[in-house]
Amino acid sequence: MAGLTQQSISTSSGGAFDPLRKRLLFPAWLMIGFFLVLPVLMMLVYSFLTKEFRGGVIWEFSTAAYDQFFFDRGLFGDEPAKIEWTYIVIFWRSIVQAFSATVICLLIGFPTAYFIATRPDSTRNIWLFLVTVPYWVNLLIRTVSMKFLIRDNGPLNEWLMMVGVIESPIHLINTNFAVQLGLFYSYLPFMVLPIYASVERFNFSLAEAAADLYADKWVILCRVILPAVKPGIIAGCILVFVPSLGAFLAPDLLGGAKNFMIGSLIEEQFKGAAGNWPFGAAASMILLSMVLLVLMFYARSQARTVH
Amino acid sequence: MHSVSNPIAIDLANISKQYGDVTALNDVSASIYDSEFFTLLGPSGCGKTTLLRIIAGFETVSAGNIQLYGQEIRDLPANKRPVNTVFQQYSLFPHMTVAENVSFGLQMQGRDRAFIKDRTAQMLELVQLGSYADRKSTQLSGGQQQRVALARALAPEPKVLLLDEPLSALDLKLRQSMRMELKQIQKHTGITFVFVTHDQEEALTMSDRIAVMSNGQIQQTGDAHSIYTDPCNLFVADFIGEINKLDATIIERFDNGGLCQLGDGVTVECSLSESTQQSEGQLCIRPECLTITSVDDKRSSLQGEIDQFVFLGTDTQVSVKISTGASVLVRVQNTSGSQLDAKTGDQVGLIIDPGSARFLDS
Amino acid sequence: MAVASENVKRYPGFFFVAVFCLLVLYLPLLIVMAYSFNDSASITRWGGFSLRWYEEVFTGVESAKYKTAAWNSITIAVMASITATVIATSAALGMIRSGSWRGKATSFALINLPLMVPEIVTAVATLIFFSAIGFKAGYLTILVAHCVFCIPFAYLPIAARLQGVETIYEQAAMDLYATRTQAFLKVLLPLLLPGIFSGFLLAFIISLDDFIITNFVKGAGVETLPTAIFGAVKQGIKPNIMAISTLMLMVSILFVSVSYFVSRLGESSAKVAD
Repeated sequence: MAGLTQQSISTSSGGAFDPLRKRLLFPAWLMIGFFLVLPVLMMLVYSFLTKEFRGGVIWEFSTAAYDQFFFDRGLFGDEPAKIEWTYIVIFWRSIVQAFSATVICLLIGFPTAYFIATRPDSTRNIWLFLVTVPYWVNLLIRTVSMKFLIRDNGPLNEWLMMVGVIESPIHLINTNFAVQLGLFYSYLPFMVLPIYASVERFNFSLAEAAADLYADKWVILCRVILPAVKPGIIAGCILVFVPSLGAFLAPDLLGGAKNFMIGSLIEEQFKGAAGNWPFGAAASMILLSMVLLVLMFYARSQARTVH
Repeated sequence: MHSVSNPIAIDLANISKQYGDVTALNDVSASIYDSEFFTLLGPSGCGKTTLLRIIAGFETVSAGNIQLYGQEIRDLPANKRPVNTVFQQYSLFPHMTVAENVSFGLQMQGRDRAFIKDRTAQMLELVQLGSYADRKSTQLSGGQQQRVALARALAPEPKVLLLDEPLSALDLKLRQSMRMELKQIQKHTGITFVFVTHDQEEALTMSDRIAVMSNGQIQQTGDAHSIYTDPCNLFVADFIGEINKLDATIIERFDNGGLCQLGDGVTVECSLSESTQQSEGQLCIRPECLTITSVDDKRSSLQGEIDQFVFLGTDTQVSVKISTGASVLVRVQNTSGSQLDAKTGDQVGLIIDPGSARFLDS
Repeated sequence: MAVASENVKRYPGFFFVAVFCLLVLYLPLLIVMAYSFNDSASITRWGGFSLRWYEEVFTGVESAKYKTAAWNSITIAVMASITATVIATSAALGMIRSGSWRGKATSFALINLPLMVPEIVTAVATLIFFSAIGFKAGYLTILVAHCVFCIPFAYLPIAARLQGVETIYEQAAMDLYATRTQAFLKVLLPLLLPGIFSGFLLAFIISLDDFIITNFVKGAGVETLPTAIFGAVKQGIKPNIMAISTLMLMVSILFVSVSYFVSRLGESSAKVAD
């Protein structure tokens, strides 16, 4: 007991910092460790098990799930292995979709964030508030609203035809474009907010210094401002790319069957009799690895900017 | 004022504090007497704040003992020590009113309600903020906040009050008036004050005794006058006020002093401290202890050429290049009658006030 | 020079992009809101203003289903967000008031792991986990899953607030004879409240919002509002869905407004505390 008190005093700075407070982290560690880390490990195990036909698994080691993902061995599995393109194409499509959603969000999000951050204090908060509100609105409802708006006989087409811009409805729903729009719409606030934060911190006297040294405003934007707010841009891109990659609602509701993305592929494996749990687990593992790769790249770029 | 016959309030014995490889305090010992205004003075990073925080209980010692009125408090946490602190930043609880702030310590001590009410009102009167009791602490000016912080720390009647640069965040005028107020409150309450500052003027004007600190050690302890006129080493001499330092060699030692030689055969009589061991060192003379006279004045010990005048309001600072090549600063008071009758380039002699030249080891 | 700075703060076209951005964000929501008041059963033709779809939501044939779903959503969101807020507050203290130690970065990553793992992966993993340990999917599994992914959302605003509260207040409290517990309850907790409140609101909205994870772990028969709406939308968008959506939209806007004002209050008090 005496030893304990001694220790608790010895490194404290007025009781404000105390290494024993680490114990306060236990509930969070336990909760996340037990209900997220352990499940992910279990998912890894499941991806190496044999599928059971009514859903679930048989506890028997198998690499069938990964094999099925990458190779086509014919209907009965006895033909020579060819590369199976179906799932690779779905993954590739997801990457392309997520990437272009990120680019579009950046192209629209950067000017918006910059515009908001350079407003005078009085109007800046109003703009910021307006951009944040949609982030708080239920994603499902936002996606359904978008679906409603752009359907063939939806308000957008009606209105365009009424005004006379188009003769017959433009077919938007169930196209790649619709998925793009959905992803953009879902994650745009994720791009705007971090960029806003870094532009707001930007010291504009640096821009003045550049102007003083004969740089015009576009040169200032590219050579002074952009490098300074790069961390915010990278953070925004990650925040859009990662959830877009595994998105389910936008591709499912706006994309339809032809524009399948990873999210729908995985979901399908766990619904009903057609499901294949080990395959779903394997696809999830592959998605997770891709995301962790992106995050590691991000962490390294952060570490580089710090040092 | 203070007398050494008073009981010892805080006795620091061989205190050391290590942060990893960094030594913040190195074998510090000091006695602070009851009812005295004791100041820890030193540049930033000298360890003065660490020492104060050790007394408060916010830091623990790596070695050494602390006694408070004879009781060992080294292992006592901050909330069990009858010692209160006025912090450098405004540390008033922002979610409480002025009165709630002042009564906080009393409530934590479990005093009864009537007592808390009276004591709080009394403390607010003491710092002249009686009518501010129900204000939010965040609605006060900097000076008012610091006065409330003082009232809050005094309310539980601590045996010792610790003040960690409490005036440094205030502007100059306010700082000067708060000095007088603090000193008066200290006299009025009779509580032992331990005051930390890097501002020598603050230390000299308020303290009964000053401990000058540097590099984690106390260099010298004494009252303002003795520290100023009788610095024990170069650091103290240099840190407190302005001083001329000239390379010198002791050529003769006698009782209570010696003769030292400057560069080119100029010799000056000087006092030596007991600790002086070496014969190579610095001759230290305060600028106000030098008087400018004609070059052939017999009383002058140094001769040189006037280099520059700097007008400073109450006095003028004259820079004189002496025959050894070194530059010496002289302070001349600007009294209404006497005008300094000299100009740049004039050859002059310098008289050193008797007993004011001091030889210190470098 | 001031002119130069003004100049650099204005790029041609940025204003229009910002307006376009808001238009894209709000147009679908406003349209759905407008059509929820459409008297016509056809979801495309405007048949005059009416509240009939709201009436149907509360009294129609499917009202029982939506009421149960709403009740599930709200009770789960309340319990999950309270639990997550308590855990996150504790974790924030453990991270920010514990000095520095080895493994702190790992601990930070662990707390934020639910944000990093794609939702669909969390959903799959959670489903597999509950099925492997033989835990029956239903209300309780949804609740547990929600608690977990709400933790980082509650943690971020609380930790940000705690970082802004200087340690000097706790030291001052301890100096004035407060015990560690008293210093926390009387000084730190009141100062943290705006952060805790924002954290709670964010966790609540996130729980209410969740579809993917809930859809995986809910089991048969248990629905929350998003899963019920999703099921209905699969059959086609009916006007009563738009009415429900509008109601949920209102709840969200109410929450974000409250949170906005609380955080602004918190900001102003923190500013003076500097």
